[in-house]
Amino acid sequence: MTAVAPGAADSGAGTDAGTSEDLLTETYQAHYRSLLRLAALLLDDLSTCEDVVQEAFIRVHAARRRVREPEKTLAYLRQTVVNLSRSTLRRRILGLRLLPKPMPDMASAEEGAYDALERDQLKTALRGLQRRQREVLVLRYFVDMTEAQVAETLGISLGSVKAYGSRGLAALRTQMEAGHG
Amino acid sequence: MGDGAGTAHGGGLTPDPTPDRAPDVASDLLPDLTVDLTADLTPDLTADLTADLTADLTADLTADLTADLTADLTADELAVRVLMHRAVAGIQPVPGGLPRIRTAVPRRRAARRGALTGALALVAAVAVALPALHTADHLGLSGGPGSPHSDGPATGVPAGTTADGSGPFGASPRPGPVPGTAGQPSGTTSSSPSPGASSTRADGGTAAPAAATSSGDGPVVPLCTRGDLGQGSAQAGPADAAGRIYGWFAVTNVSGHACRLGGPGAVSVTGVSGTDRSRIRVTDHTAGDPATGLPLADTDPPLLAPQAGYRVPFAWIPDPVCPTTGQGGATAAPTGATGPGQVSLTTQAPAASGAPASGASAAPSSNAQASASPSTGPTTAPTPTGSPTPNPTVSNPPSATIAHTPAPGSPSAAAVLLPGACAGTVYRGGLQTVDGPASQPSGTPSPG
Repeated sequence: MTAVAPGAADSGAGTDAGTSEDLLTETYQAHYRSLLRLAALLLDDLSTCEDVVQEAFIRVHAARRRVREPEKTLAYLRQTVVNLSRSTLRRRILGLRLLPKPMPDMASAEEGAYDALERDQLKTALRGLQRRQREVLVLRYFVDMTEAQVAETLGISLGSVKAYGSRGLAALRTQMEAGHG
Repeated sequence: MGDGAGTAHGGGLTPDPTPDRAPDVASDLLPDLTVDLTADLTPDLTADLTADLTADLTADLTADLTADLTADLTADELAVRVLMHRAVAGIQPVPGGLPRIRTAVPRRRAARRGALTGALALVAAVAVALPALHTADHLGLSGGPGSPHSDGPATGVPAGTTADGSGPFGASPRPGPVPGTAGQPSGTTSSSPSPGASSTRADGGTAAPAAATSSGDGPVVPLCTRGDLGQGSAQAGPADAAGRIYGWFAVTNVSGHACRLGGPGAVSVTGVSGTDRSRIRVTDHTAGDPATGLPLADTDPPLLAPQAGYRVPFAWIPDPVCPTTGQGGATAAPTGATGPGQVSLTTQAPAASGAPASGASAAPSSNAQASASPSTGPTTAPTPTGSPTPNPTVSNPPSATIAHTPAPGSPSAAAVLLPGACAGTVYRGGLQTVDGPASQPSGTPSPG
């Protein structure tokens, strides 16, 4: 569960990536899980999440220039995941399913019913938000970006980030209340 | 506001990270947040969250996040943060992800390179094709209206081979217009694109039907289209004792402008009577063949001024014996037999003549003077068409009709009957310009 904390992933990327000769393995181990979870908050289909994150890895690593800047690799990866998730939501097809994949084991045995309920509530609530609100909230609170980083990643202004964030929080609360009551 | 923080995070959501910030949090958001979180989430979540989140998250969060990140977050922001992490905490990557990416990355790189290469190739192709199209269009337009020869592979296509036209491209037909030499359509014709022709020309200096490129840097003269050429006529002299018949075809540039003849044209058998067509061969005159009276083959297709024309001399050399019972006009003269190599050449002239069969714009009236009208040739005795040759013939004399097709293509300009032709060879001599200020007289050395 320690990999849940994105801070650990960040620190791992900052120190190691780019120096190792197997950059791909390193960035994969450092970021894949957190990026997958980021995609899981933006999308609902876990198989699509895998597709999106893998495609992000492929794109970023196929462009060697991006990987040569290890401090930006994670930013590129995140941005690509967000953009791919957005376009995936738009089109609902990714078209680059390389292989048939098994579903990730999302429900482990020890997870209680409360967890599942809460998780589904949050995901349902997130799904009820506007796309921009959802993206801002996820980047802001799951990825722990600052508002400026969110603005840069999403390509919107800082004021928009603040507005989307506050409205998104309010909407999320409403959704959670509605979902719970 | 320690108690405020206590209620806000009463469930133990974020017990550790927020003690300092609790006052403003509480003042801003806690009134409803407290209600929300406490009322909604606490009963469900706090048991679990307290259990494992505190253990996992708070360790990390407290370590490196509390200081900068979460310090600015409000309580419900923190709650959302925890909820988000919680919601996806169970998601684990599928095992095959890394190998899949590892195999896909080189392919993607190759695809990117391929796309780049493809784009470059496309640019190169366009860069080449545009001048080529421009050249072809230019020549086709300047060749005259219609320009039916623009697609003809054998005749009239100006293969702008060498820039100065000095290269000895005797019989190498270039497949198409080469971009960059549009201004100098050195008329390399491919009318008889036989590699053997070039060799014979190298040997004897004669009889290469495929013209060399123009040696002049003169003004751009368009190629003659079929419509430019008219007034075709033909003349066949009387057969001599050996049955040889000499004659010529004549074609005139009937257009108002000068044009360059794309090639010597073709002489072909168009009809036979009383004999087998396969026995009538057509070939180009080369040094050493029996048609000694012919001028040697031209080295350069002439430039035809308006009303100028050219002649294509030919000779009919009969075989010593006519294979059939029907006797030929003259069977006696044992002239040199035609070699098999010349026989192989005979197939090329008709092939060249038939190439651009698509609509030539020439008036077909030039065919009207088909059969040996005796009006033009004062030097030779008239040989009426149907009348028997000077040689005594039987009641059904064999004969053959040969026709000349100018370089641009069909229709044929003139035809002539060869009376008494049973089996033999028609030799085509070099072109001779007549009647006009042809600026490019064909260099025809006297036959040796």
